[in-house]
Amino acid sequence: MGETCFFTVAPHFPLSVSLINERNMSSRILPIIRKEFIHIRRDFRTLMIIFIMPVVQLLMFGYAINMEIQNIDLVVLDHSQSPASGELVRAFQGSRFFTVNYFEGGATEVESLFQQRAAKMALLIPHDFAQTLATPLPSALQILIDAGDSNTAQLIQNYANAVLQNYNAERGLVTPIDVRTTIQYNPALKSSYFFVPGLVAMILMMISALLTSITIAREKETGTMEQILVSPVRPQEIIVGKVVPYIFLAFLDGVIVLLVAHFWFKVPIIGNPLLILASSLVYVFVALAFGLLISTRAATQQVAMMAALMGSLLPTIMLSGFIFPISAMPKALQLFTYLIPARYFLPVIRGVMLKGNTLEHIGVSLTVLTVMGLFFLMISAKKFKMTLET
Amino acid sequence: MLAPGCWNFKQQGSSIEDQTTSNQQQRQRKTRSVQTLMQRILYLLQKEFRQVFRDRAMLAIMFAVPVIQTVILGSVMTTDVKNVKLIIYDADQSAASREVCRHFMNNPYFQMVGYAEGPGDIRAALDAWQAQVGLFIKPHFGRELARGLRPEIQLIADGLDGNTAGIALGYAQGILSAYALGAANVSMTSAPVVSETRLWYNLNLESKHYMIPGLIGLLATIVTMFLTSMGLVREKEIGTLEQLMVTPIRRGELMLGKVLPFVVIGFVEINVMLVVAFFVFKLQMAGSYYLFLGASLIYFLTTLGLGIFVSTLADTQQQAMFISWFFMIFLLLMSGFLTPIANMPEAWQNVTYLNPLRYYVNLLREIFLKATPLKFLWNEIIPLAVFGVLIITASALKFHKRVS
Amino acid sequence: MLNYAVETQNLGKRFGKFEAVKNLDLAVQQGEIFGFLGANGAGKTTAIRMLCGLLLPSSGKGTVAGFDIYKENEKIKQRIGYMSQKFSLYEDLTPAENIEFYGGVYGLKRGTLLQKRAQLLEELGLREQADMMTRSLPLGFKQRLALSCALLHDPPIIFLDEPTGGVDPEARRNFWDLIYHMAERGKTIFVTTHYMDEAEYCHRVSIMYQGEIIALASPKELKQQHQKASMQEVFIHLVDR
Repeated sequence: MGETCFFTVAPHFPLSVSLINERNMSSRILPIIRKEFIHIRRDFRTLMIIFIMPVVQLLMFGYAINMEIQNIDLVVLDHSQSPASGELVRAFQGSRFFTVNYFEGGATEVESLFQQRAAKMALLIPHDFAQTLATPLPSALQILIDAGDSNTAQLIQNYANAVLQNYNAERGLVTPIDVRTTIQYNPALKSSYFFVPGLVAMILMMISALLTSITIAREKETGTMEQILVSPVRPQEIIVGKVVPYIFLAFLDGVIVLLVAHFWFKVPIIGNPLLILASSLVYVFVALAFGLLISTRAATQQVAMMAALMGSLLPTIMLSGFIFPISAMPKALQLFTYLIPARYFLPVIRGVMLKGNTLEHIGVSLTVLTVMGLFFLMISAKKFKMTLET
Repeated sequence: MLAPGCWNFKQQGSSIEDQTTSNQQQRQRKTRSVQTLMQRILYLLQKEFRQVFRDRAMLAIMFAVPVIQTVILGSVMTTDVKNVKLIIYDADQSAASREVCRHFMNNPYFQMVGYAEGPGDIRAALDAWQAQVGLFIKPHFGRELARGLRPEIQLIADGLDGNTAGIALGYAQGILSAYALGAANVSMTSAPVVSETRLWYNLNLESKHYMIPGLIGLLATIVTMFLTSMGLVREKEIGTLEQLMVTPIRRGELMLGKVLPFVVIGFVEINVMLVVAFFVFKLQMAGSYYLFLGASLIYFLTTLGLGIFVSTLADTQQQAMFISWFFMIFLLLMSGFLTPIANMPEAWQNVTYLNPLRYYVNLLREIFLKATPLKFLWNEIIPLAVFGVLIITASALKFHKRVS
Repeated sequence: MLNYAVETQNLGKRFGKFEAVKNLDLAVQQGEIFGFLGANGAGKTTAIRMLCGLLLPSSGKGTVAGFDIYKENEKIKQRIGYMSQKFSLYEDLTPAENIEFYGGVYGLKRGTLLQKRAQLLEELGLREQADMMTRSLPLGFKQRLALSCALLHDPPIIFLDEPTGGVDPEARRNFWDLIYHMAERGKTIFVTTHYMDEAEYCHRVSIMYQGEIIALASPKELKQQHQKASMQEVFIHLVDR
């Protein structure tokens, strides 16, 4: 009734025209949203991305990386065979990190032990160990470590040093400086603390950028986009309609991951949960804008998928500091990381969750993200118009 | 209505290959069929290579991408701890405390970001991601050290990145004890036991020696598995596979013809990556090159088998890519490529024994770094061969010459 | 005696609950052009795929060229040519390379193959385009090239699954001339189509509807029996019943 009324007046009053559109806007978007949910429910692949991948990744990153290695195979070549050397070996046996075995052979045979992977570390006690111990001269042991895996080797070295320090301390010999270490935020150095917030960032990026770009490309490929475009729906409405379900799902996934992390892996949430959600929204905005940018350029799903993988997902995993610390990268790549949204978002979500960061800490990062999102959106809006015209 | 005379189709059929063979000896027919077999495979290979070399995009994917990936991933995937941001609060300002600071500054592991004004600044810097480690030297440090009073130094680390924190703290403690031993002027009746540590195979503890051989294994997997499945599924998509299925070509010939090109390409790829490893990352192969090639050949049984298997599951290239991606994630996560298997929970460690990539990555690392001789590698080679044979047999059985 | 090129009894195929082909009884003679008519989804392609050994039947019996379609499908494959609507050519190979490849796969001797290739390119009028990629050929050329590739081994029985789909009327006409020519040389041709005008060219046609054969006779007989002027009308009459 109201529509007919507006319709008769409309030609003379531009304002009323816009009123009609406004009024119809939500009723036109809803069918698109509904349709999108039906697609998602029926598409096995999308369901996998949304529900299986996060679980697999969470399990992997929650469990797989422990900073603690136990039962390191240690062989002892005790050439001293004295009570003093026996005591030293007991110090290693007492440590939960090492599994100690004696080895009767010579030092030259250690290499073949490493190659057989029968040992990771060898402790060589020289024959004059007991004698030098009684003098004011330092008694030197030799430690050999299979450093094939540098990271593990580093840890083994640290453990061995700790055992020796304890041994010295028990003999009343302490270092002249009392070094006290405090570890903030994650005293047990659990990897789940580090990876879970990063995982949220990755999942938000994956669903927002990858799935939206694929779904728009699919409509283009099958020609249904054209069909929708000739209907009275406006491009903005199509975009909103297509994007809303994925925002919803991305948030659902993100929240699930956070809950599992909190209740299963006992990762604390120190900061304000609302701030986490709000900053996630900013990040999702960037990811969606990027997804749109891809979809305006990609003609086929395949291209969209490759572009999303190469342009967003891989950099998010590799270059954002999600797994590999940025500080250890070559300088050129370090500079490149400034172009990657997740690089800004990771300190935000990790900071709010685990350090109790407030808006004051994360303001700059959020601003950068917003600017990035607006930039992507601007380019894709320009592009989108052009693709409509051609 | 009937055509004159009843045709014997069976006899007519044998005229396909050669009109004269039907009258000749059984033995000759056998050699002929061997020839035909070779011939069919050769034609398949010829076609496959023609297609590969005609497709610029494919060539780029096959050769440029692995090089770029090796270069970028090789420099990114590092667990090295370098340039850890360090903030110092020196409340003592003595000669001794400044000496401590100097030890931290002339050091590749730490990157000094500044001096704190008070103890609260360290925490604030950690909160704001400006520093990862804080060093707090208390007042009177120098005086107490001189008197042998064992002054306290505090190290405060941001533990979120557990790996970096753990290793950085290890370094810091090492630096401090080295300083302490040098500075100690206290005469002792007995000296502490010190260790001289030798890190074999990797003197400077650079993770590239460990990561890059693994990366070669990973990329070789991707290339061979993805290309095989995509190649077969593409033929399915355009209908030529169906056309091939109604020809007398045998299943084995068809599989061999489709797979051999990727064996060749796989070998070219691993050598390309090897060159990158040598020239870009200055790696050396300590072990036998031929052992490396042999291990790779055995491993390719698995990846090519998986590729065929994926192609039987997928109807479109996109599905093939997706399914391959899924296999890939399992292979990757359970291989010990990123995270040492010894660090995983027990149950996960057991699962890794089912993963062929685990054995291949192990082999590559052993051969590259440690020059481990063949006699110590059977624990990897035998399972790898068993998996390869099983997988390729299973996929051959699943790969029918019928459509499903 | 083995006097039928294609013979089936109660042949059926079901996919889960869906019965694509039910109780197919056929006896196609040597030298016959046998038309297989029906709307899309009537089960024509499923039937032809079973006969070519691409699909395993769920029930019934059948022989092609005297060989059992369950057990001897590899032997059948040496004696049949098959071409589908998709014109299964490699678009990124040239026509010459396509011929060479398929000839090689069928086990033709190198000498025979090269000779045949030259002859075919000449016949198809593709000598000039021999170095062009197949993807850039007009549809009609692709169709004839695909047929030539499927017939390189000179099979006595030829299966054509919707061979004229999407091809313009003139090319269709030429194509049917080719089919006649082959039948005259004693080939058996088994062709599916949904163009009713093409049905008129067949010696005998069977009309398939929802997986079953509802009529089988020569076009002339069918028209007489149902008192219609064209096969088009016969088909509509039968299917609407």
